[in-house]
Amino acid sequence: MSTMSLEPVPGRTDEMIVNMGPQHPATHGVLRVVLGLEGERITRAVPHIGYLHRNHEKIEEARSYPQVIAYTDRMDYVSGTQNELPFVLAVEDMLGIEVPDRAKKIRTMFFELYRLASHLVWMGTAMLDLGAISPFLYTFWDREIILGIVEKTAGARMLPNYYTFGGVRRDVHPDFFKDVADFLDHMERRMVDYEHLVLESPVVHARTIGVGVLSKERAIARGVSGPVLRASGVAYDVRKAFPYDAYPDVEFEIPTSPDGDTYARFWVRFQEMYQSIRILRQLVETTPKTGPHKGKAPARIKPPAGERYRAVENSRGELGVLVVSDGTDKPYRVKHRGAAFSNLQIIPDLFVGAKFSDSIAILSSLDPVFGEIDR
Amino acid sequence: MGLLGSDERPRDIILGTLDDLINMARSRSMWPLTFGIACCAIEMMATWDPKIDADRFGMFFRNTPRQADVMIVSGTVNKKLAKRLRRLYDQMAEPKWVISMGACANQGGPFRQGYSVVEGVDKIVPVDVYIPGCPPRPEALLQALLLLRDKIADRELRYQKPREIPTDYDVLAEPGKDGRLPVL
Amino acid sequence: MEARMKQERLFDEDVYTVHPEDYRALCERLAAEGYDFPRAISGLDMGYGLRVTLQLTRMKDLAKVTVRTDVPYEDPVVPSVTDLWPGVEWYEREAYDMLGIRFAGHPDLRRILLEDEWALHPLLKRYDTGGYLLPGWEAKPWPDPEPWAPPPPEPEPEAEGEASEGGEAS
Repeated sequence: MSTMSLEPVPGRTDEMIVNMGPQHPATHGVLRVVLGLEGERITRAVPHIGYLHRNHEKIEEARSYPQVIAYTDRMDYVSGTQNELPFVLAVEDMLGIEVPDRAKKIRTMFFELYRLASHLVWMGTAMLDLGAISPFLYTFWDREIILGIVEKTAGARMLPNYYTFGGVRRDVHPDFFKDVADFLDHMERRMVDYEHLVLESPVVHARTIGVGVLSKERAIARGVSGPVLRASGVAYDVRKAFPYDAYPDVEFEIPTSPDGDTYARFWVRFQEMYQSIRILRQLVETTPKTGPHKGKAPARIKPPAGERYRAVENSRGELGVLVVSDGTDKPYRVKHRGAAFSNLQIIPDLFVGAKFSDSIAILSSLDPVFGEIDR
Repeated sequence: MGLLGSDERPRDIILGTLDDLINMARSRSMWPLTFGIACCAIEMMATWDPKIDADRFGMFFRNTPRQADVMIVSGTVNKKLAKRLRRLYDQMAEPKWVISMGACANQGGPFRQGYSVVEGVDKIVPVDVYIPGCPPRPEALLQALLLLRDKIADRELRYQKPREIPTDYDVLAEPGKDGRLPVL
Repeated sequence: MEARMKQERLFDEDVYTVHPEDYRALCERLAAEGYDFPRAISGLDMGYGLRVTLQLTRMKDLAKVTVRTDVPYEDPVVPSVTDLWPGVEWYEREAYDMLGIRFAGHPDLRRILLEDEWALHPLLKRYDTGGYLLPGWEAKPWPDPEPWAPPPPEPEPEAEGEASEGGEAS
């Protein structure tokens, strides 16, 4: 099962315990993995998390519902508004708030823009982990374009606090649709470059094909979701399974790969970027340029006592929230189900038996973001 | 200061003190440690991207604290991480500086009320520049780096830096055992 | 088991509330019925005791189910389901860390988000946001009827074809 103990194993004399500490250029944040190495092979891997535990859940019990939205942003911080949505949807369900169609489409557009932004960060940092410096520069330039588009409308780049109960806080900037359309044209040309840089690179092939294979059954049993699950052959996407916002109205596919190795996880994320571009193209065409951006919501948000679990498809997987309300204007309990928290549990499964440099490639393909893991 | 030649002297002769020369070299090659903690780390990465590009100021990330001289604390420091952060700071060689980036590193940020968050990294390491914001824009981080650059260039060669940061409670202990009243 | 289980339908999920002694048996039954994807285990302080909420999805037909059980503060022990669904391992550790719920049979029950040496279980309602004990906090009395008691059957007069809303203990 999982290799948890670090007691010395009799008979194994040349094992070295190495700490891949919370400060490391390739751990995507503050992850600590204590590895047992025999030469280059990893024999034991014990992840330690909690270095970014910011007591989200306890603080959110002391904040009113609209204030909690601002806190949820900070969980998966590369994905911005994607974190706000499960909480907003859960409270909308509990209160029965209707969201106008145009607001749903605007929310979906921001959702997919942030998916592109998050996958661009992933691509830049994953290639940095593998040793390539230039893709980071290209991807972050594209991400700056996205953040500029968001900033014109929402006021902030990365943590915009833009969704609210019933829709979005303010209407989009007049240039929004044109900006997004121009960006999509630019992005489609760039994706060709990214294919050359990443998917067709012989170094990436050598370092990721066949590395870190995760079987379908193990992935499901571990609660893995998102691109990692889809790269193991399971076509589970919350956008299709339990649709929300404007997803029932757009056409897109769920890319899956039967291989389950690191290259498959890279490939699936690429295909998701193509699907995001496709969704955004449809939404730019079909969203009405004027209209309501917010439905009617009560002035004081006080859901009736009860609980509701609601999930969305984050860039990392199924990001869910369980909101328990006791009838007051502050939530009684907000439990966030972070996609990367479940995904990170497979580290002992995948690292053991791999070479040390493979472990970096595997970790970058899992794409953890510690705000969502440690909360 | 006399670093640039005046009109009376030929322009290819610079006069100055040894302090000025060494500090000029230090300030033009500030090497930060790759220590991204939370959301501010993404904006820190955005400061090194082609739009803002702090590389052109001579700032390259070094992965090991032994080769770095600036530590940019970008993100919330909690009690579990604080011990490791102090150890990293101690491993850096003199002269070293710390930039506290973002509200969380300045004073605990939106999580200040919580049980596991240290209210500001200046309770653990001495800080030279504070950047407000949640998260601060990349331009703000660049301004802070340039401020630090000027601060270094103006310094004397031998400088005194406080080693102990006095607090009246145990910063790293769990609440209830740290000897203080609750933070409001 | 049926006398100590309440089944209801909240939004789009089947929600079972069971006695802690029947929790394991119900989980094994659900695993045999094909619920294979563990979404999360959440711990929750109800004021009278601690609640463990296990959420599962069945990949085949995307059915969702939630299992809840309540334990008293003095002895918060719940059987672990890590062997049925390995993906709850860290969630159970987190529930232990945050609320002090102990999972019997967990392979490695130690703290995950806080330091190992700490004694604080911060999400309990007796602590304020900063982790300090609230001076006037008292536990509420255990609810009566029990949380897992099935609702009484609807009285007979008319409406015999309509299914009763409270759900049936089955």
